[in-house]
Amino acid sequence: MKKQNTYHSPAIGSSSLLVIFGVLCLTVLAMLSLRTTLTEKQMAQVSAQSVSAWYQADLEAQKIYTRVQNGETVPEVVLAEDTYRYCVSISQTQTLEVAVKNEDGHWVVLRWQTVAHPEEPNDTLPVWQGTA
Amino acid sequence: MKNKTSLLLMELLIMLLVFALSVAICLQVFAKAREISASAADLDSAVILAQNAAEVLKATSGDIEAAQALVESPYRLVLTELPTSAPGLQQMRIQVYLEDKNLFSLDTGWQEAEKL
Repeated sequence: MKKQNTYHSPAIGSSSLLVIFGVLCLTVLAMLSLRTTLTEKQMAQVSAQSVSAWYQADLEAQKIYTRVQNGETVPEVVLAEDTYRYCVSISQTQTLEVAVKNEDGHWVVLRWQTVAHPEEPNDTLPVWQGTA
Repeated sequence: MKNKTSLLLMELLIMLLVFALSVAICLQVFAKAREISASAADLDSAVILAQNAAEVLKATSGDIEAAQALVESPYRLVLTELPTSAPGLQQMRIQVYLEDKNLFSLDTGWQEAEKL
């Protein structure tokens, strides 16, 4: 008996499946890398803003300190027990608290501290009270 | 059989085109992501440089040369003295440049040395 050589061509659609899988993987990888770098950029911008805000507050505190040293009356400054205290806002959750004292003509900085004031959590639940 | 082969070849050709198109688009996305990452790294470096310069100026009461010594290529530091709003206070604007682009700037101040 003659041997019949049968030729089986590759199944139609197999290459499509492979290409679809490859394209999906590439797309997901590209989107993830773009998302990661956008987050990095956002973090860098937030960090820059935070540093800029701190130095702005520090400069403002220096200005008030200089005015106090020159004998000016500054509204923000509170005098208690020979110590001048004042606060400069850095952001919504941080303030720069300063305390300085004049000891026999020599000015001493007792405190130049960044204090965090975390936002209070809103635990109220608006519930209908039954009135119109 | 002949029809099946030609159909297969046609499918392969179309899939090859689709794959090439998607690779071209994804490569552009990767390039854009790399560009954004580089700019974020530049901004971080600029912030650190400016902070270091500000602290050196405050510690040395305005030694500009000491602040400039901190700069690493390709960044450039521009220090501009600002008019003082109160006697006894010195103010300076620190700007970090990369080529001609201002990456970051901050204002700082310190007490004059005689007052300390």
